[in-house]
Amino acid sequence: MDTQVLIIGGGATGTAVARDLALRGVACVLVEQDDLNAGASGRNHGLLHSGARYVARDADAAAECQVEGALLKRLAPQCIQDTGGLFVAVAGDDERYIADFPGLCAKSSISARPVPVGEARELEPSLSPRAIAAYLVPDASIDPFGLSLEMMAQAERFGARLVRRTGVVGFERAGGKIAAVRLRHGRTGEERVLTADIVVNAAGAWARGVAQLAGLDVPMLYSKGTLVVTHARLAHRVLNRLRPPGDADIVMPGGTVSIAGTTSLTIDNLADVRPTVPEVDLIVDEASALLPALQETRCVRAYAGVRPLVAAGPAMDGRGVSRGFALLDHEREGVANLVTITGGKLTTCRLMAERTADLVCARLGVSAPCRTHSEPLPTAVECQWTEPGLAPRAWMRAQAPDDALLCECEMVSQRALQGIVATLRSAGSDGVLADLAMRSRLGKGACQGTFCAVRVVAHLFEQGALTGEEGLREQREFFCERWRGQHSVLWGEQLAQVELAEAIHCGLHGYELPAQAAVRP
Amino acid sequence: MTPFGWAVSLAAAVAVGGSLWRAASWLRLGLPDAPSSARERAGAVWASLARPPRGKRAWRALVVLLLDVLGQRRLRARDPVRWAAHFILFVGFAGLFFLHALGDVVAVRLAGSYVSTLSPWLWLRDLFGLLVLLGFAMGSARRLAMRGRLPAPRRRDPLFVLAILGIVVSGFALGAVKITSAPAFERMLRDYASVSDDEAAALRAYWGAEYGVAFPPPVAAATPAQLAAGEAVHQAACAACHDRPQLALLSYPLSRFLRDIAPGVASWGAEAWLLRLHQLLCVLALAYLPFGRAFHVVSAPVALLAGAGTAPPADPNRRTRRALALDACVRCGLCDERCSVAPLAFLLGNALVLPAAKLDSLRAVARGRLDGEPRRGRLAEGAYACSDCGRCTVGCPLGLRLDDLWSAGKDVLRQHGEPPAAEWVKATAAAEWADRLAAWPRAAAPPPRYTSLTADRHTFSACVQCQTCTNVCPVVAHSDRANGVDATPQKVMNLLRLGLADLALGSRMVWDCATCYQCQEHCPAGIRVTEVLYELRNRGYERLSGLPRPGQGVS
Amino acid sequence: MSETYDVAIVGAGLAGMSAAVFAANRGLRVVQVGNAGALLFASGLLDLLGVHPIEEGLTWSDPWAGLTVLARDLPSHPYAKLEAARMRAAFAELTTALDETGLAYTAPGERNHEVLTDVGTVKSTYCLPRSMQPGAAALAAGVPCLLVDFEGLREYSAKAVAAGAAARWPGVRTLRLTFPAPGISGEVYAAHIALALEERAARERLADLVRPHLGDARAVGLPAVLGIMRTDRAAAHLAEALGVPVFEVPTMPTSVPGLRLKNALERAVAARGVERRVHGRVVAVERTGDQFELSVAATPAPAALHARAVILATGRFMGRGLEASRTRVREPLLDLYVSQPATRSDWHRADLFDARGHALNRAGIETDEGFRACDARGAVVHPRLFAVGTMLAHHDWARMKCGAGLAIGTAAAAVAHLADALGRSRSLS
Repeated sequence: MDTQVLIIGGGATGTAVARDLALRGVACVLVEQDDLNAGASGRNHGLLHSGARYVARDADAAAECQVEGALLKRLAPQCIQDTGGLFVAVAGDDERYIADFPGLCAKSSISARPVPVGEARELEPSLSPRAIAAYLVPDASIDPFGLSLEMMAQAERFGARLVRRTGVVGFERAGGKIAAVRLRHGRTGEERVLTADIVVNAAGAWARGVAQLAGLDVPMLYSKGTLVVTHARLAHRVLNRLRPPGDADIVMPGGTVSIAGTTSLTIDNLADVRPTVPEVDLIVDEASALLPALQETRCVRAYAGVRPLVAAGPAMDGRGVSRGFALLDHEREGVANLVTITGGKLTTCRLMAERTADLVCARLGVSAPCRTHSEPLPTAVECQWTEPGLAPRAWMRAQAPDDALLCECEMVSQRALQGIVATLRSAGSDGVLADLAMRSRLGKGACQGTFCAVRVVAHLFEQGALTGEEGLREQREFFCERWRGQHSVLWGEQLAQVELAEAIHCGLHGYELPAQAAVRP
Repeated sequence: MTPFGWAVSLAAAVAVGGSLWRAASWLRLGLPDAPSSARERAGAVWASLARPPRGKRAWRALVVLLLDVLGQRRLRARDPVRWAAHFILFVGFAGLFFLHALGDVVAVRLAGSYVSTLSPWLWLRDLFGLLVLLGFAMGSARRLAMRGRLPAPRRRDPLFVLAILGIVVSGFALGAVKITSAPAFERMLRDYASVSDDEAAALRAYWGAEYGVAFPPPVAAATPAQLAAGEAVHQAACAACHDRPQLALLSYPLSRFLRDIAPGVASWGAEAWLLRLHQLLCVLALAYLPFGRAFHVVSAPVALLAGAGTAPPADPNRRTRRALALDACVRCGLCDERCSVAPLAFLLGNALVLPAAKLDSLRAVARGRLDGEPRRGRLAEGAYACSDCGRCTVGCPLGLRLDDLWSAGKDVLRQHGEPPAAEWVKATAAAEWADRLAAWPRAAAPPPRYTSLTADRHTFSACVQCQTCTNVCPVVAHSDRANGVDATPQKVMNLLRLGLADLALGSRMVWDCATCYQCQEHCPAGIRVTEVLYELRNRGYERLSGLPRPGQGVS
Repeated sequence: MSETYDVAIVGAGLAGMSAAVFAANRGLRVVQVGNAGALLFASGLLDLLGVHPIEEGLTWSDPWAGLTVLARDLPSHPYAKLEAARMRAAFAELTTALDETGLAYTAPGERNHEVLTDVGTVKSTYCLPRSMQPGAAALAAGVPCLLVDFEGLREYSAKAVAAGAAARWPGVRTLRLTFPAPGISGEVYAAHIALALEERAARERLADLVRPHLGDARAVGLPAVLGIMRTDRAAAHLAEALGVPVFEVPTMPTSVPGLRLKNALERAVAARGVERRVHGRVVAVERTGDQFELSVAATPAPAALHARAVILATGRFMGRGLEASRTRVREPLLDLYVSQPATRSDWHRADLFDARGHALNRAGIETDEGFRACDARGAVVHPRLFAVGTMLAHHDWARMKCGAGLAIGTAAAAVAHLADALGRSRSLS
């Protein structure tokens, strides 16, 4: 066997499972078809729920969130900004819900302290003047990228291996088990086979596809959610709408920006999921009931993720399905060594991993106990650059005479990026723009890569990390990827930014022209 | 010598002695502390006076004397209205002084003789007196019209004003009384005219009718024959020394007012009293010369003459010049009117932003009276607010080197542990300032004052990251890698956007910014870059001032 | 204040400046309000026509032939309203004006030039600064070339340029230098290098650093940093010191050639006696009787200008000539009709580099044959209200590579029609 456990999927779930298993001494390989957090883990609100949002409809989920949230705050504080949150109702909201709210929170042991509206507006000056009730809750902001990166980093230190850009294309079954897993590299097309004692399907929204490759089915509901990112932060705390959960209820402080959302649209397939103009408009219109400033604030991008929801029965709508997770042991269905862990929330990823690892270890006969509920998540220097605002602080502090900033918007320095490249190299791959962008704030600022992509590519050329046509290709791909986020928020000042980007990259550089441009003589 | 003569001599001694004493302070006092002795400084002054090219400098001094001292040309260039008031007053007073008070000395030399009751002295005296009153009136009207618009309360010198006005008013009153005074007539008749009784009667009639004397009732009407006779007597006995009193421009009309009560007034010896009052005021005014505003008649010409040439960089007379400037300032307030940061005095509630008040403070400092934290703090704040634009210096009608004074002031502050903000801020790295601010208990922090631009997202939301601001910034262009700026205008804008303004408050970029406005003028998105940097500097000044500095305890 | 100008030009980009030059050349009394805005981003290259049709990405080496085809294919494109003769004359007039200020351009001719860009792609353009011309010649001849870059000039890597161009121009070597100029934290800025290279001694030091690496190079390419005020002198001196032609490579912003162009146009406009309100922004334009009154917000005090005609050259979204809310695009000064796609969902395509371009790029102000602004029904809003430059509808200047031609050509046409209209109205009054 190549390894004991093969984990499919590099989101928060998969990396948490890898960490849990690695800490128990189990050898594992994590295979990810793109990069870490390519799915819902990288496209969520970044909200560490206090749980108060679910007290009315899903008390279990609420309680779960409360416990796991507190645990994460204690064990992984470097990924978390304990901003606190407010639940705020505005004139016209459901009065009964407002009245029931404190009691329901108490029942789930969630602290919800009422504050006078005046005080709430002092705490958050941009709060709507039409607010009528407010409660302080222990919401927090979590950096999901930092979390996954650090979990994987610790897992790797304990012997786990990460294989990126490699997807599962088939299973070889033999004797009621999966004998081998066929993998293919997304770029090179190179195929290979891996063998493992147990396969964990933690592929999030793609879990169904993976299960189907093994001849099984996991009925899932795909619920698409879109979020909108502002140019600068509007509020310090998480702002929740105090009403029955609906669209655009939450405005998160994402470190240096605000993130407003979300929506819930049921979709059929996972191809080309991107934010749409109507969704963005809905979010801005609805969320501005909480924060009127949203109506005229610059938005730099939007992103859309797919919630993998386990369909418990027919005709369940997206919000009605429990966001609790599902751990499926496929032994009952004839595949003894396949386990699917899906559903759930970012807040409960550790718990999901614990349950999964318990099951896997029982299967393997490993008796080491789970350590993740008490062991702090160590900070890894190369994983810290995803934290908003960290790069500028580090750079201003260091004042190194030769450390230029390559991303000016988010103030990410050459040395920081070089550190990331070194880490990637030591794991066996050259860093490409997308990798660097995932592991830092590169391209997440106002210019959305217009300037920094060029600088980073120039730097990589000088380092010998890029040759030939790769530079142009990298930039094109990066701009296309950034475009997916900008496409739906192009009004006002962001439209002017994009006009500049097009003027440079089409007008001057001609990136839109075919590689071998035909020339009329 | 008459008692008046003694009084005048005494007053003159006070005036001269006091002026010398005051002038000696120019050699004693200095900013910062004057290690050189008064004798050394006197020697330096003498040496510079005697320095060649003497002829050229003497000529220049003469020009300055005529145009600046007598003509007050500098004041005319800077404030024509005020110059008009002052010049008129000056001419009037000078005329009164030289051609009335010193009539026996000066007028005699000019015209051979001086008789105050003869033309031209008769009307010249009144004319000069009128000019003094007119000058005062113009000054007062201006003061009234500009009430509320003048930046800071100015030190008044009521004694000085009262003395001058008193002299002139009492003089007019005296003149009026003398014209109407019957006892004076009788006295003059007794002392100077040897005439018969009939002639005296005729003279009385004539003088009563034509010369304004108010004889006590009953007064018989004069017949034409009497008047003709009286005129004849007058021609023989009086006309040599008495021109028609109607020439007294103000005294005579005034005397007409008094005519009815004149006999009563004369009966209780008003003339003598008024004369004594007039003389007393003159004596007091003379003795007052070295004090208060009166001294400007000495110090202003000296200052103008001293400033006439350009001083070499290593000027041995620098401290003397400073002391002279501190003393010669007449608090005219022209510097305040020109101060380009004057509004800050109101905003900060700190008068020491304004040049005139700063100068007053420095005068106290020179006398060793810089005591107390509040004054030092306000002086430091004033020094911070000053933009070194130089308009005060250019605007001073006495040509005082105010910019040099402010530089001295900064040295003084440095000595007292208050170096300029830019110095102590730049001594610590921006990141460390941010750490200290983070440790500062928020409750004790003052409510932020300078946030109108930097707290408004729309200030920077249009930034397209084009780097134009940085490219046109001369400070970045000439930044020394070892000791230069730690950020650029673009980076500061991004720090704002990222909510990390605290990192910018103590940054070199903010404190080295020359406010040349290139960045703001070039920004294609119309962002007010310079003003953002300036607001950050003010915010930094306000917030960092409250933090302990290296070597200091907790404040 | 009480004087009435013949024409008020709102906007100081390439179109506005060209209009000011053309109008002043024809003896009109001109006032111009506005900041340079997007002009600073110009690469220095003046495009006439590069690509048509954009769906095929077909590049033209003969832009005049391309113009003819384009006018036929896209009858609503502003080029369809411009005669070739006028366009030629306009280019000549503008480049002459620039030449007078010391910013020399190649003579407008019959064909496009191909130049290397700062990322290694090859771009076709019509007129280029003389400082870039040897690069076009070297590219065309394919001679061995040395590309120099500077440590700390972060957006420009000679290796990246060489790699990008390798297929087209194999004989390119690279050299990285540390430029002896101050900077911050390892960063160096193009304008500061350019300022330093105004000095003879600095250029000589640079030549000394390059010379040992010349090898067989028959041209030396630098990023566009050869001085700001006297580029011709800097380039000539450096070429002489190195013994081979020296050329500049056009860069993305901050582009020193953009700064040069802005400065040169400002000088040209000032030399012609055009009244300028540099830091004013026009906040309102009203028709008062037969004239226009423009309210200018400026320090120290707002002002009102009166003019018989107005040329709007306020650009698109960067210049704030057009403003986009979430629902529609507006022209903020006069609320002119803006033809545009129905909803924001239609504004942009899913793929950034979609060959068809984005529909929003073709939104803009509609005009008649004389570039007078029109309303939704196609009626002229006012006989002496003109709109020129990129704010017009039915072009995609970044894709077609026709930005400069659009600005210069439409400005010339508008000024010509304006002069006619004024001549006519003057004789009537």
